[in-house]
Amino acid sequence: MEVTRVGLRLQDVSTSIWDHRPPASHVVLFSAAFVVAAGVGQWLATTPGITIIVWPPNGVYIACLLLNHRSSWPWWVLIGLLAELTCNALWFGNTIPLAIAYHGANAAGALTSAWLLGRFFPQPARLRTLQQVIAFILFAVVLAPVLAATIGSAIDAAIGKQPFITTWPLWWIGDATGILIAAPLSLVMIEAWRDGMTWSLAHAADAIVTCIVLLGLGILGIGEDFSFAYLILPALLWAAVSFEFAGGAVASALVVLLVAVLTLKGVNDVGAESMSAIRDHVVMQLFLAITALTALVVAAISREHRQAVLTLKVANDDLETRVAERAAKLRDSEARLQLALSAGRAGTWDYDKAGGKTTWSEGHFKLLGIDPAPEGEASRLMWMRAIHPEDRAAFKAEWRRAERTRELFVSQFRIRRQDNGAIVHLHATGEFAYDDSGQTIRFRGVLFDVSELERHQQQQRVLINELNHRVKNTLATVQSIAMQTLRSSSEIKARDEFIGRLTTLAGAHDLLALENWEGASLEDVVARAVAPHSAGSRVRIAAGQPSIWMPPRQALAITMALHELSTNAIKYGALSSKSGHVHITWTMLEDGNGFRLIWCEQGGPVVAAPSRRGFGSKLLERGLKQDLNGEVTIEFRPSGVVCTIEAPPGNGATAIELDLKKGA
Amino acid sequence: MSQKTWLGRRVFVIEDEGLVAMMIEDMLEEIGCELAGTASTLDQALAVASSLEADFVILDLNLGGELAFDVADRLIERGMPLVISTGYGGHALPERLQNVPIVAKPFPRHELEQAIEKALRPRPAP
Repeated sequence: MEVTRVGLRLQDVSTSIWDHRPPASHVVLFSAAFVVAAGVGQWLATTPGITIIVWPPNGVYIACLLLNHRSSWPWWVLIGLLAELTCNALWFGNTIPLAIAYHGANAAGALTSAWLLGRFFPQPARLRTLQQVIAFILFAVVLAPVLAATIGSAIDAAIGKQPFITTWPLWWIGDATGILIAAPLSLVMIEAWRDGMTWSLAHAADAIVTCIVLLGLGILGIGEDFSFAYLILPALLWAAVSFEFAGGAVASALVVLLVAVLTLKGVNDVGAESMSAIRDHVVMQLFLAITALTALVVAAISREHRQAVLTLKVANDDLETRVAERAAKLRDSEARLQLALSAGRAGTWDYDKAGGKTTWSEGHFKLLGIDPAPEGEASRLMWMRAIHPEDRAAFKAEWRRAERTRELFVSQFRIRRQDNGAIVHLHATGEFAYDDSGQTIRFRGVLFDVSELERHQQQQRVLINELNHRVKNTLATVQSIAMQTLRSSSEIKARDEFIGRLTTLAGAHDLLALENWEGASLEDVVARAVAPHSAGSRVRIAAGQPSIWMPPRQALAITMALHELSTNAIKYGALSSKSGHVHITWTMLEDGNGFRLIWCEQGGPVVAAPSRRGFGSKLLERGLKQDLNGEVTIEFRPSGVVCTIEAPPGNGATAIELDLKKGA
Repeated sequence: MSQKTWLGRRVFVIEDEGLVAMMIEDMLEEIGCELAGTASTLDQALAVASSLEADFVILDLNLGGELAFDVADRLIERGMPLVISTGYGGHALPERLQNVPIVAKPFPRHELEQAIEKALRPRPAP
């Protein structure tokens, strides 16, 4: 009747409660555990005048609530009530209303403590940490029995069974001890059931031996009056340390059973001396409580310790894995470097000044034609001995310079190979390392064989020289022909003008040959062109002109232009009088493309525009304009001739090339 | 250049190109030098280098494609004043010939005069 009403009310409140109804197997399990726990309590309750001594069902109750979602709690309260009524029918023989009232007291304690413990036991609830154990002791072991004992004792007092003050302490301690033993045991059993347990042989043997030792020591120690109860401590602690919560809980349970068995006999002996009996039972309960408490705390500490060690081990394993990965990457990178070095026929050196040690890579030894030494051990002396005597001084000077200025060491030198005596051109680039006080501690670098490149460059130089030689011999032959052809006195002037132009052209060739016919700088071209006239500062090149690189065709054109202008100035212009002079300036064009050169005569005789354009003017305005691919303008100002030459960057010379040349 | 130290001096010309040799001879004649003799091949030049009699020598460094450094060395050894005429720029010369006056072909007469003047300049005692 009562049951049905409660069930209906819950169903009305929320359909989700119906959804959370527990599975039948769980119901059976919980009910059985509850009844067994109550049976054990009943078994221990042998003292006349004391109803119950240890009450483990509430431990099972709390464990069950912790293991299940709150929405299903009404079901468990209902099932708990049915289980308790069953126990009542079996052993206690109270009236049903009284049994229900007692259950109300128990349920109040269990629900309150499970609710408070909820945040310490996230689903699925498991005993894991010391913090959980402390919370469990506070809320489940201390607080829940306070509630249950207060309500229970009040009921007893109300029906006139016993005074409140007599019932309360016995109820509280019986309940607390029961919870302390039964709740952890229930939790670890459920966990073992859920997770499955794998036992190694050693572990199983350990468990069995521990049980036997515990029982043996228990029988010896507990005896009749708990005088040597402390004897069980070693076995208890061992169980808690070895098997953590499972060990602690099972050991506590075993001790309870042991006490139950042993005290049956003891109580019979004690008889009816109630005061002494009560004292004995308080001692027994304290013993059980302390035992269970110790097992629980030690298990928690053991568990946390093991967890910490495990975490550390995982972290350590992780670290080792990463170190191994890093080392593998390093080996890969080293292999790639070696491949690059050997593909480029390069060698590396490392001169450890502080340690007085020099090591070379295998490639370095090979470049010098020396058998690689073990560990690549080498010396400065080996180096100096290999370097060609003519290049040693420059090498040493570069070493000193780089070390002092902290700049990159760059040196090209010849060495004589030790194995076959061949001369090899090497290019070395190195870097010094310094300590905090500025002392050199290391000198490391890389070395390449540039013999091939050197040979090509040499060949190119020879070819260009040969070409230049031929061109100039031909020009000299032309000169000779002109001299032989133009012999009469009327022809001398024309001959000299011709030879002047011819030698100017040849001079420009010389300048270009110096630069491997890659081009020439405007500065050099101008300086060379005006050199014959610059005595007495008659021709002045303004200081601080920008450096401009020209391709060969432009260089030749500018040279010829300046020759014509000079010749004209000497004959008719500023250079024909003592006071006249010429200013030469040039600037980069605004957009950085090409340049503008201005030839400006001053202080000479008053100039009048010529009635007829001579060859010089024609050469400038027609021929050079084409070669320069630019603009040439000649102004015959009264104060003097002003010639403006504007030239874009010549064919093939990009702005980048200009930059490179300037940088070089 | 005010002092024409070369006037009446005897000059030996070593030059492989006939037309160029002719021009040099003409130039020398014009400036008042006396021709002591000529050679046009390296063999000839080597043969006469130690024995030729002249006040100075004009030597083309490239004789028929062969370099005439040996000839230059022998002449320098004898203390013979020397002018090198070359189609290579001065930059192609070995170091031991760096102090020898050079005319780069083709050259106007006044450049030849300058080079001869420099060659005939009394050298400081070694």
